[in-house]
Amino acid sequence: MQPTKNFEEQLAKGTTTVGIKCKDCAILVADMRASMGTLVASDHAEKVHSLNEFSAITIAGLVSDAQYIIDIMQAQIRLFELDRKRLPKTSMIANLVKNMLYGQYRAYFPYYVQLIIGGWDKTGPHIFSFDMAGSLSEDDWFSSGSGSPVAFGVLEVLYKDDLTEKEGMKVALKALKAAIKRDTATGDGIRAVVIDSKGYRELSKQEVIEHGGGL
Amino acid sequence: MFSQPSQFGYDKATVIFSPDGRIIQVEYAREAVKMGSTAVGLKTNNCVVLAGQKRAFELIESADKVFKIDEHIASTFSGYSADGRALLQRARVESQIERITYGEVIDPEVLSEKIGDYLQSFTQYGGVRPFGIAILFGSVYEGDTFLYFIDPGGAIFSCLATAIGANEGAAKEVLKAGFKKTLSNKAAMKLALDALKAAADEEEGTITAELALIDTKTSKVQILNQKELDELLKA
Repeated sequence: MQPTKNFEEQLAKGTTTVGIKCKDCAILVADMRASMGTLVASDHAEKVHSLNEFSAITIAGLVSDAQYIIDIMQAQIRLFELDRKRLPKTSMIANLVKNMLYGQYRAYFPYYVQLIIGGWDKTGPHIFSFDMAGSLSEDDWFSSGSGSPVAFGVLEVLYKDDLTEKEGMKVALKALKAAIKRDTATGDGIRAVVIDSKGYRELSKQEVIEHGGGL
Repeated sequence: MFSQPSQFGYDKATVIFSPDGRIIQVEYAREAVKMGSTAVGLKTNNCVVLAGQKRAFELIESADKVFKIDEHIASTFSGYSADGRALLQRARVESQIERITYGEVIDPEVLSEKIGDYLQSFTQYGGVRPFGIAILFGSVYEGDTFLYFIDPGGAIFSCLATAIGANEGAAKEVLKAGFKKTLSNKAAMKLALDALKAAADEEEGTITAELALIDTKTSKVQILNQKELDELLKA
């Protein structure tokens, strides 16, 4: 690999991640393939990470940038919880990420990432999405990564307000499976996470298959 | 050379403990607070009231006594007014930093801790003196009422009702006698003014007060001058 002008683009991983807001929970799903150009660098990449007990983030793009952002955010949230003896709202976590991304963007070296945050707080479930320049928007559903155009098409048709957890998981997995089928940089397995009033929960392989996530 | 020989110079720098474990500069700062005009605060189930007496000097227009920090937080202080203004400015900036950082208004407890931490730093570093003020923060936050008192050493106390400044003891007596969590907003405002009057030790009706009211219904700071208070409490 040559350190060329699009050096970061060569390092960046193709991916598909999906976030959906349901009636009582937020759902995040992602594939497990880490690609470097045409090489499959890993078939067990973790792209959904918990930030605290009630929020998680999906990553796409440059893995080192994403891991760094997650490390900093986890530390910030832990300090917040210790200082204030309360949990931050999902929107507060999203704001911290937004400021981080924007600051780096304006320093001419943006973090090369596309992130989705999902979480649950006393105001209900939330999905937030970011771009590299630090813009933030709250969404009902969103997808990121190289396979996202495929996933968007599926979500556009199947998403409805107030889905149950079961229905929402089905929609999210359908969108992800479509991307796995049509995007070469997406594949190898599925990680699915639900965040509701009981907190962060990762689905087992068996549960993913039961929800229609069998490949 | 030593005006108070008993201190043996332990009052000359804030970083020095006296042998009996006191930081004497902080105690002097508390004395400075007692010279400032009186301020009171109380929180009921429905509102927070902060009130202060505006001192009148001949040919000088009296300075503000209660201040808005953010939409939902008010403050008043007793002591050196210049020190107070510097601290208010810091509180306002901290409130805005919170909005930018988290996209939310600041929790009054968090603001009080930030200001308390700042005051504390002036009791531990050399070449500085503590702030000559005590400060009250009143707020309605997420539907609840909050009142914090911070002393010049940086200690923070959550209070139901309290008074600071000149003759604060007399004001506290009035608050103790009349305070209930169930007071109506008007009764709470009247109690605050009565406490100020008691501390002023003057004929009733001769003080000029300024008052901040934060109602749980609106969570917004409303600052009232003496004229507006007279009209409101007459009706």
